[in-house]
Amino acid sequence: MTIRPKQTVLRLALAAAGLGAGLAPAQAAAAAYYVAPNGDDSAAGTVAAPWKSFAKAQAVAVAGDTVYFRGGAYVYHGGLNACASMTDTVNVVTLNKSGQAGKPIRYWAYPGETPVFDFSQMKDNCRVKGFNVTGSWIHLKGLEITGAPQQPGNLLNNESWGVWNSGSNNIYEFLNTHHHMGPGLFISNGSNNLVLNVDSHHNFDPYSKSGPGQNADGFGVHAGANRPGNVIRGCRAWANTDDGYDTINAGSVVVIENSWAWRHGYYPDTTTSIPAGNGNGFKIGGFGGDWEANAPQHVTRNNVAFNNKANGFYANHHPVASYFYNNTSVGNRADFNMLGVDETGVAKNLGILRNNLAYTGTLVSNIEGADAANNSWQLPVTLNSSDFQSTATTGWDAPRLPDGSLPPLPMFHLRAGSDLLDKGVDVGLPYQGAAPDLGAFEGTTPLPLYTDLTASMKVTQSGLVLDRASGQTRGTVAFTNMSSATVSGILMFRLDGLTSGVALVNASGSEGGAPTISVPAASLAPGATVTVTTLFSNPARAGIGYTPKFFSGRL
Amino acid sequence: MKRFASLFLRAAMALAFVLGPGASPALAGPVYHVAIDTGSLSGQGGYLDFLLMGLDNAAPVQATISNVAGRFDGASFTVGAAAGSVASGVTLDNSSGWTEFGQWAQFGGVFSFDIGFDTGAGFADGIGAGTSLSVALLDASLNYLGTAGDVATFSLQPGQDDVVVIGAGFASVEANAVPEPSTAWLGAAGLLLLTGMARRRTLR
Repeated sequence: MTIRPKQTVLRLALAAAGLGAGLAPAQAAAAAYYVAPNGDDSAAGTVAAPWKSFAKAQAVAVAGDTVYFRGGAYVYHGGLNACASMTDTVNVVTLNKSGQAGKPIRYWAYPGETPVFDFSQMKDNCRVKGFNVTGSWIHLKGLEITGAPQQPGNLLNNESWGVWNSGSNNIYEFLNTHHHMGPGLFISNGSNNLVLNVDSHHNFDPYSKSGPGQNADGFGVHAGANRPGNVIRGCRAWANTDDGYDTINAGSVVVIENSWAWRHGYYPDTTTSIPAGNGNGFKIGGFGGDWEANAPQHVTRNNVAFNNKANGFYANHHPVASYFYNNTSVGNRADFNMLGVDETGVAKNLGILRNNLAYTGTLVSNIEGADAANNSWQLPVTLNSSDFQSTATTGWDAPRLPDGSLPPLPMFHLRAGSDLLDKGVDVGLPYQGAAPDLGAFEGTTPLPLYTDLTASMKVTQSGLVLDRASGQTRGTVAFTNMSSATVSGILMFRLDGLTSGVALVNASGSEGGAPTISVPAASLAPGATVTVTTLFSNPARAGIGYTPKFFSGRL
Repeated sequence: MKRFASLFLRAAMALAFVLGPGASPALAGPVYHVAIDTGSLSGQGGYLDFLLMGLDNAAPVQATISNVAGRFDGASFTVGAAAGSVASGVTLDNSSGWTEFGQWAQFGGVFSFDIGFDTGAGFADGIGAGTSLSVALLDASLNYLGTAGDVATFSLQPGQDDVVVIGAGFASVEANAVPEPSTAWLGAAGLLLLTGMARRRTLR
């Protein structure tokens, strides 16, 4: 064992954590900078002396650099430019500096914190782009973005936008974009953009000239021809007044996968229809009812749509058959509506549908003539609630996992014994058993529905001791139930944000990249305490940190 | 395992600091006198090692090791926020997560020292995670020497009494409710309180 000088150890620890600006020569080419709501643009941009503005960060950061935004509110009162007219557009955060292939410029939330970019106080009397991303090779992660406004009395425009993209090769990850008067995230142009694990919800455009609510989609992808590679993955859209996902006028293939959509076309958080809001979960393609040569065959797979005012999955007069594989659609006015259009402008049902599951609501509409096989409505299967581990339509907005991935929920996962198992056909997606199952979720592994009870617990973390024989560092965490109710079920301790380079040796599992330990108790009475041992491997001798979370799960 | 009434003492000291002139946020608990008989390791050299560790959210703790006696030679090393020497005294704080001081020694005789802990404001209120100070005898490769574990471990938990675990039969630990020299200026009210606490001090 070699004793490292103090500074070397600290550098290793910081490097392992991905933090620390310019500490070691090896990091000089990829600096880390910091921005905070109470920062100062004349400061050094370090964690101790952060900058204040996005503009300052962009001016300094170059390809490969990472800018960390500390938690708190970044409130904007005006755009970068003034409204030249009531139909003009102002930009608030413009990102026009590009990174490079393999060296994006990263604008990330500081680990464990949530920076909130709030445009709701703006009074600029025209359209607003909250984030106007024209550059490429940019990676936004962990940001909350809210409130891009329209102004009352100005009915000359349609929507504003939370995030507006025209660049390429950008990544939008683990964003929470909501309560905009227009779409939460809008890809106007560009190719190879990845929208990963983003939530877009409660968007409502009350002052659109085309009618209140008609333009506030969760996600819109509308890039033209020769703009391939735009992907939406692991996203959620809900309570938007227009559609969840809309690819109208997209001239290149858009892939939407492993994403969910519910409650569109209503005033947010109500079941009151907003007349102008379309209300589709997934509106895939279309060119305003016109036939277009070289229209793309979009790919929509492993998604879930439920309780939308209009269709769960809708072809929207698209001129060619798009792919709809392994989707689950529940309780929509039509779960699958394959209304297309032919060269003459006459309605024609178009779609390639395999392994889809429609349950309750109107199962299908405009399906005759579409290329459909091995879907639930075509097979001799009987659907009822016993096919599913849960049919709940609440709780889908549960917190995401620490790495931003979707929460593991039991809803509409098949139960063992369901006659929907192995009834699909191989479409090139992974599957278990003899053949793919129907619907968005493969397999029958029981998924507990976990509830975060951390707030009800007094958490006592001990100091750490080193076992030099094993090289492991040992500590304990005691959870005391401070509530008046007994906690029971499958009890689980999760270590969120565990220091990079440190491993939990005695983990019993993991969720979203965070290690978990099964708590050795079946229940915890009020005032009772359960103690869990933690064993860490920490070769770099980093300072060890994590956020303890306590969950109770039920099958 | 011994549980020392340090929390009550720290609370009393906190009040003493508040009442005394020039109040400081640092709170001192008891001073532990540690003696380690290394007779079974006669003729062997190794490190007398102190390792202070807590999680990143540990309540601030500084350990001071003083009055160190024993047969020392060779080099010392530090990791993290450790400073000093066996001659002048050693301080370790938990700001760096892993803080360690080791001094090469020739074993065979008795080594002794005093350990005191200063804790930050809020420690008595149970704010923050705990910290542990481990004392070990190690060989040149920093493996245990003559034992299968640490010879003594001091566990400090905000809001709780200190817990001392003595392992392997090498060490003995006594707690002395003696204020550190820096606290000698304490005001009369504080001194009165300390006197009262000293009478109550027992090993539980």
